[in-house]
Amino acid sequence: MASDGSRLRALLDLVLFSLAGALPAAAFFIAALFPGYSSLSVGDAGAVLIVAPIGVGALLGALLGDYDLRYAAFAAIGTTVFASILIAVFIYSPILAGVAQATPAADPSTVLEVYVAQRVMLFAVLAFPILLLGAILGSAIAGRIIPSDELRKELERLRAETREWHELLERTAKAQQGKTEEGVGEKEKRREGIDGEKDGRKIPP
Amino acid sequence: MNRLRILLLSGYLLLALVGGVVYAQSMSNMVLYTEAQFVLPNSVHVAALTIPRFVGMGTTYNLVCNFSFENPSRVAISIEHFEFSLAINNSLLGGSMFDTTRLTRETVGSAGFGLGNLGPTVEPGHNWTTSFVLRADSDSAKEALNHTEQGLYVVIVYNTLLSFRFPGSNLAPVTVYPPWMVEVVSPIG
Repeated sequence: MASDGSRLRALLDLVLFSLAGALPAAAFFIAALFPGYSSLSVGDAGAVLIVAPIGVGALLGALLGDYDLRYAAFAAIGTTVFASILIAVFIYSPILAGVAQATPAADPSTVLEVYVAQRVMLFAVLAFPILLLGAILGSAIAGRIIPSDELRKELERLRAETREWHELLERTAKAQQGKTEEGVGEKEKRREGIDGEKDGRKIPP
Repeated sequence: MNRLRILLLSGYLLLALVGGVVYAQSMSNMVLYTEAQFVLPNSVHVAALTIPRFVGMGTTYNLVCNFSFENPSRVAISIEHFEFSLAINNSLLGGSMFDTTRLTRETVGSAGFGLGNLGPTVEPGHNWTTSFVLRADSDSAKEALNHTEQGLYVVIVYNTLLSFRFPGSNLAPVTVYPPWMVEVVSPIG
């Protein structure tokens, strides 16, 4: 059972890593969908929408490799939520900065809220599964190549235990071998004695 | 923490930093663009328009047109391109068109228009004023102006187009259309 302290640390790691991952995820999405405003020029928007979340997800999963796999999945959800908020803030930024006002729309499809919801939904639908896949892959790979401190200690303990067992086995085997050799020597001596008696010789004790 | 994990964490934080900078820059550009489209067009004014006295057929007329532009935005802008159309609405002639004038940084000079400083950097809160002398030497313009002795005429400045650049930014020029049509009721001379 994990202590409250370690649980809190896990939660803090999850939130911080998700927030840090949301920045590049949102920036790449904006660069792909709103290229006129971004200083980052991306060639193929479709490729960016796939590659960026999988990269962010993989790094996120690898960094959360110390924890349960569920944390990687929660981090993917957290990153999607934070990035969606950042994208909505980006679209609303002129209104928030006070340089424009949302004018009443002529038809429902041009309502700003609908426009923002469409972009956020598009991001969530495109990015979340890829982020999740990346996070799980990253977590699995990190679990293999970068074991956590606890896991490393556990492995070291197991290795030391195994080494002890091997040494014990070796000692036992040597002792048994020694006994066997001793037994063979005595048998030979005994057999020589029997042979001497048969020939009329006396074998000194 | 082993070395590989530190490397991974550094890479992730660097990616977050780059993402944050790109995001902040994109948001700033979004605000600038919107500001250019909503705020700047309303700050273009026609200061004065002088229509010359009728001097007879075959004369070339010079119309002096003063424009002023205020930069209420929070950043310095540079005027990339300025274009407008001008008409004299002569009710007696049934609203004849005087001339359509196109002024750009490239065509000014070769087209025979005198021009003030087009293309300076206008600092936030500062004005830019320019004066255009339009030479009306087309036949239709001469014909229209030859009738101006008959009274008051309405000079209309319309189709104004202004392009801005944001110095120090990689943003494409923003083209705005001031949402007004200036009507100057002016006597001749």
